Amino acid sequence: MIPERVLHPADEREAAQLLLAAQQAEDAVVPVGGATLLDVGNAPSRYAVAVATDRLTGIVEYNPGDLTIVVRAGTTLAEVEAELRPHRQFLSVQAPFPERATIGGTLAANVSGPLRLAYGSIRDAVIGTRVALPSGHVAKSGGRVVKNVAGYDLSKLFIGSFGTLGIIVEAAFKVFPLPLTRRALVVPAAGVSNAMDFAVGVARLGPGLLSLAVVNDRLAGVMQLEGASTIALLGGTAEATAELMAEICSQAPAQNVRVLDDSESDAVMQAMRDFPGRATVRLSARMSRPHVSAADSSSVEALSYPTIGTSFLFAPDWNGDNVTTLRRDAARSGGNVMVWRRSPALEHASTWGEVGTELTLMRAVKSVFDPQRIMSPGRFVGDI
Amino acid sequence: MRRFERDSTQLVAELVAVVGAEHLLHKPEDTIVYESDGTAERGIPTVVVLPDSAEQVEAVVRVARRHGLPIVPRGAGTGLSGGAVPDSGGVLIGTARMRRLLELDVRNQFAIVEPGMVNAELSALVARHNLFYAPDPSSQKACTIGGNVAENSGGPHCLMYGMTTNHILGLEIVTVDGERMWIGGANPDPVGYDLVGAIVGSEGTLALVTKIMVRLLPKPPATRTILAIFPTMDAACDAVSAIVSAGIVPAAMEMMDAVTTSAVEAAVHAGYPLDAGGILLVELDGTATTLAAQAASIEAVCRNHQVREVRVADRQEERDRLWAGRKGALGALGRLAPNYFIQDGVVPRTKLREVLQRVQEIGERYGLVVANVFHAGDGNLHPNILFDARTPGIRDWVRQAGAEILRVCVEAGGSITGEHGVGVDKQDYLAWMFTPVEIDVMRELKAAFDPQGILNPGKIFPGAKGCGEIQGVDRRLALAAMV
Repeated sequence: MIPERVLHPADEREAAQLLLAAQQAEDAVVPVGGATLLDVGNAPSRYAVAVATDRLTGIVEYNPGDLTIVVRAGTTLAEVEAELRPHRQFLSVQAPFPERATIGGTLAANVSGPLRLAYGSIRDAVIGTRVALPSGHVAKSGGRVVKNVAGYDLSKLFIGSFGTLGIIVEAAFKVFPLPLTRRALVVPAAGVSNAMDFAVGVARLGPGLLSLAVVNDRLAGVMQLEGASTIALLGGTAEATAELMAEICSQAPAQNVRVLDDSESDAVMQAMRDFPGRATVRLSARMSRPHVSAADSSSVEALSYPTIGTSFLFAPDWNGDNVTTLRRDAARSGGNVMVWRRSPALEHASTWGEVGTELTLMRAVKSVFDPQRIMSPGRFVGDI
Repeated sequence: MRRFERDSTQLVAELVAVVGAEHLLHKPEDTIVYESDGTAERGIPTVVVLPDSAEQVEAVVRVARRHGLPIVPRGAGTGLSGGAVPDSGGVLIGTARMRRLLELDVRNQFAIVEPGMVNAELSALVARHNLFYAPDPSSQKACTIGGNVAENSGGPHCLMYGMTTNHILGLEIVTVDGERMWIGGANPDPVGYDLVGAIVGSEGTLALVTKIMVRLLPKPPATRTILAIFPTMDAACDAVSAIVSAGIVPAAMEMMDAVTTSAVEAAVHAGYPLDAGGILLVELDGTATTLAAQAASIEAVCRNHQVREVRVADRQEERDRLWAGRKGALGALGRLAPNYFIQDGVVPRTKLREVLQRVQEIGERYGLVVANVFHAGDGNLHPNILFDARTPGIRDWVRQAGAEILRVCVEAGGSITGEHGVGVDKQDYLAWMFTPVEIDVMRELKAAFDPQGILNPGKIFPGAKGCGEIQGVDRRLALAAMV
């Protein structure tokens, strides 16, 4: 969809003013960051104005000793990383194409990345946000300290809101010290089911595991790995990492564990980070069965995080029926399936699947922040 | 019969029909038991209902609504902000009978519990599966998971593991309309707005919680506790910053000042030197190899900051001994004064030293002794203002000194509360952190969930203090939260 015009507010106040003007003119607004995941969610039912955050950029505050950073929403993830790296710290959140992906967009799309196992999801990393609202106001929630229970935690409602409540203009994050050493291992398995079981078993080894993922045959081929595998990223002191590596190797089914060198490791981690940038379906379920049934296919590229319960699938041939079948399977364990990036064959598939009675409360939330329904109308679940 | 009495007879009859006569308290001598929490806030409920199930909670909400009465949820009553105090009267729903473990999924590491489950009991129940529930408020032997959800409670170990909100996967709630539903759940990427995130920490003002799905974590393979004794608080504060700067995130990092230490030593005999200026307690979770390396770095950091002595313990009994002083600290303060008023300010870690100095100055200016025992690793201060409530006029002074301390925290870029909640106690200070517009947005959210303002009224919002009956209690007394 193409908006009638694109606006580039210079600061948060101007962003809020633009929203107020749009509300008065009954213009629908879509906030735009790096546009790396802009087509995720339903196409908005109306789209008059794109509000770009490309001038709302820069680091607001960073004190390495506090392990917190405050950044404007249009800042790219790569820029944040560059700020943190000299202090041997990093942002636990990783999203596809960090040179373009912005903080605001990553929050709105609720992307956590490959390190969720060790560092939690994006909602665990955020300690405060500032948002521009259609009322013309800028509102803060949370703050800049790691512990804070004053007032409602409105930040949580904006994370994963896909631009339907307002525009995130600033966010404060917890950051983490970089592990002293990092090491990636690839453990090939006879099929995805075995690879997932292996990952779940290894997860019990606990601290030092930064990421545990499973790639199926087809994605392994794309990543130049030998068939379905578990990928483990380890981090910590050199001794602890070596010890953990030995432990994983001893549990591996065959003695063919590959320890990646630094450049191979970077390439694999980058491929994992960027994969949701082209995946067409996201499957979320604690039980491994739907993940196995989705990934065990020669026409699908699948990246699964079995200890989290999330898989991203690139399934160019899938149509709405495939989604419906998987959705039914996922629902049995309380999970769901989201059409992520919409391929032509998925044009008519329902994006979000079903929501229960809690939709009433979600509509109530929407009415608080965006009573006139100008923010990305129709993009979200239940046509919010 | 006067109308109120008739109504109240009717109310009692309807509630008895839901929970049975033995679980409905309405006589003054019974309801007064529920008049306060861990603060000195007071308010007597019209009735106390002790439901046994989510279905009963749902029915109780419908009854309360029909009678237009406020609803106040209550766990163990250990809260430190007045959040469970029914200061506008109404129906108090106690969760004491709803304390079952409903489901335990070891493979997927979650449990579903009822809100009255005691925090420490949950960890004990899952321990044989080598799992634990991470948030550990100091009151964990008494406080409930439901209360923790309401307040978004913390505890020493949230330095590494995060607050309650980071460990709640899903909630079964009853809305003010008496509608029961699940939000969130085992699904790692729930669809729609994060209602769980909004309700955790909402202090019982948005919905009632009837079931809680919690994340469980595998127990760390090894734990090491380090006690470091410093000549001054300044040196101890600098050591905290230096440990963080060295790239170490301990599981917990707690500090005690000399006032606290002297009381603790007299009570617990933890072996602390009485002339120590500041004591730092660091706990490390991880593999034995990692702990050895981290402990060596921490010792080196401490030596660079004038540490007098470092004690290290790995075995449970030894670690318990090092922790005994910290855990017994609040109780031990009773040796110094009959009452204390606990604060819960947060500051950026790098401002600890400066803010503690200002706290000290404030105490001196008011002629009040302040004992500090707190979560240094995440900058969460607990200055305890010591006083004797029998001294005429002292409560106002204590309250004023406490306000000044929180003001200093906010000016340093921090918060008025890190884990206790706003409740009644800190609502006057919310406006120091949020603009009127921001507070209005929060009010609108409240109104969207609870248009009539029935759920836990008089909490969080400035000027929201109960305007209902506060039977026979001097309002000013109620304002000074004393423990």
